[in-house]
Amino acid sequence: MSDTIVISQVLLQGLMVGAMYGLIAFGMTMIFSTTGLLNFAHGGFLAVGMYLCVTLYAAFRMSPYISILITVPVLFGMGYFLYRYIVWKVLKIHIITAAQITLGLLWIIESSLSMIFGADIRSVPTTIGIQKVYLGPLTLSVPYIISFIVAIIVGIMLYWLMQRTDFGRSVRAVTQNRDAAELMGIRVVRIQTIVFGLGLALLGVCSPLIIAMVPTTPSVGLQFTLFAFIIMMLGGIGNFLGTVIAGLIFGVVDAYGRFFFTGYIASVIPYSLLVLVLLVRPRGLLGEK
Amino acid sequence: MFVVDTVAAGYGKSMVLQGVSLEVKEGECTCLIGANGAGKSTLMRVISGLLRSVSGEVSIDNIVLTGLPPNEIVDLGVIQVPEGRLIFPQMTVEENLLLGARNHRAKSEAYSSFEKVYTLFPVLKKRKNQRGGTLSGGEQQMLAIGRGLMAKPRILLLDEPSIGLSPLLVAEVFSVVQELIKESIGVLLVEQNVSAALNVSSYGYVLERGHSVLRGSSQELLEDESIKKHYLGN
Ligand SMILES: Nc1ncnc2c1ncn2[C@@H]1O[C@H](COP(=O)(O)OP(=O)(O)OP(=O)(O)O)[C@@H](O)[C@H]1O
Ligand SMILES: [Mg+2]
Repeated sequence: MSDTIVISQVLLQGLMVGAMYGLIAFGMTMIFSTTGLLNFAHGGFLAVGMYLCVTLYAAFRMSPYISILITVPVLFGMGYFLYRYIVWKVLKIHIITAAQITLGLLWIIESSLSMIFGADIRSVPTTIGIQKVYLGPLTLSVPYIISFIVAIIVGIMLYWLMQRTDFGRSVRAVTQNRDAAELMGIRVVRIQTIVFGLGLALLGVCSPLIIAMVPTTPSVGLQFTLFAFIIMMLGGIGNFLGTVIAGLIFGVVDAYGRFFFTGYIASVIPYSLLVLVLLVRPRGLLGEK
Repeated sequence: MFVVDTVAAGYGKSMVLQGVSLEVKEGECTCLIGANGAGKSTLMRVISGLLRSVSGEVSIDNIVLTGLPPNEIVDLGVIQVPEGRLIFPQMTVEENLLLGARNHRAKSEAYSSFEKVYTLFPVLKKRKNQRGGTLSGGEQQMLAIGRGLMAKPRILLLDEPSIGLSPLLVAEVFSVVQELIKESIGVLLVEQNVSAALNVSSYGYVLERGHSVLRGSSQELLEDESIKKHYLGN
């Protein structure tokens, strides 16, 4: 294989994974900009979704692509009730305590998963997992293509939801000025609760797609939380389009990093990207003001 | 009739309002004047349900608003145009206006409300696809008032609408207030621009450090010696 082919191959794969990252970070930035809360447990809930797929496979031989019908509503419900009955009540009193709770939750999730499933690597085999598509000289495995297509479809749905519906306008109003939103008669806490649910529902979309591509361990949560956080900062906090673009860039940079370097150096590259971008654009790629 | 009855409220342990009462009749402008820090905006927050009162009651046509969440207060037609405008800076003028019409009563009539607001403020029509944050200060104030009107107010609370505006725009804002009165909307006008406020209103209240110290017809207040001394500067 020639160099350009390899380089394009890595680029393509980076973009496809990046689209997933974009969705994950989209949920985090949505939650942050409507509630003011950094959800440290974000990656943890992604792990919950993945282990839900592991369980459904073990019990019913269910393909992750079917499990998505279960992970989405389950994670939405988790987010909804968590915010409605715990996070919001703490948030009213003290925001740092609420952030602390999500951080604690990350550890609770990780240790519960270890206790139930063990610390070993787990994966869900799929029949299409091994299939490949040839695009000229490029080779793509089918799970990557599926996840990319789903990410695009979900991305378009989110765009429509945010730009064209009353709900989306209300969400944007809450992110831009909470008091003014209240004065318009928007039920701010209700919007925040639904957004928290939606943010986790996006993880419900991503987790089956990711477990179909790569195996997982109970400790992936922290890593995904950090990735989502970096992408959120890269895109400009609360900037929904910026987040998606940042996700794609992050995916590509990470893919090249892993391709050209190994070990520690590769894992430092995404953070260097963040520092570099923030040096030039302190409010992120598309951040304003 | 909109009634505020001996409302006391504050932030934490510091009480800002110590028993404030006032009335606003529909089809009339009532003004509330007072120095910086007197508690005018705090009263607005209490009325709209953003801040809990410690005691006292707010009601419209004998329906008690106290304790209701902000959205239900909006549904009852008590609409606030807040101090500092608080428009949504990243949304277009049109979207800002649309958000004003979100409550149950206003939603179905949004279309005719648009017409009305654009007639009152033609500049908003010209700028309808521009982002709120890019408007000039005066235009933002018109947008804030327009957004309030989209909500179909029965009682409109205007918190210092003339601040930072040129004399010409101030006159425009006050002429809009007169238009609203004709449509039997009740206006509660909070102002630092005391003479202009008393001229457009028919009744006025003076708030000092959380107490209503003076009330009367605007004519009486304009002639009152202490008002002349403290607020009219002569
Ligand atoms: N969020 C808050 N927390 C604590 N104290 C506050 C808060 N908002 C206002 N205050 C205090 O309450 C008092 C009254 O403030 P308020 O904004 O109601 O005055 P105002 O009459 O509207 O003044 P202005 O004419 O300057 O707008 C002030 O002493 C202010 O410092
Ligand atoms: Mg004020």
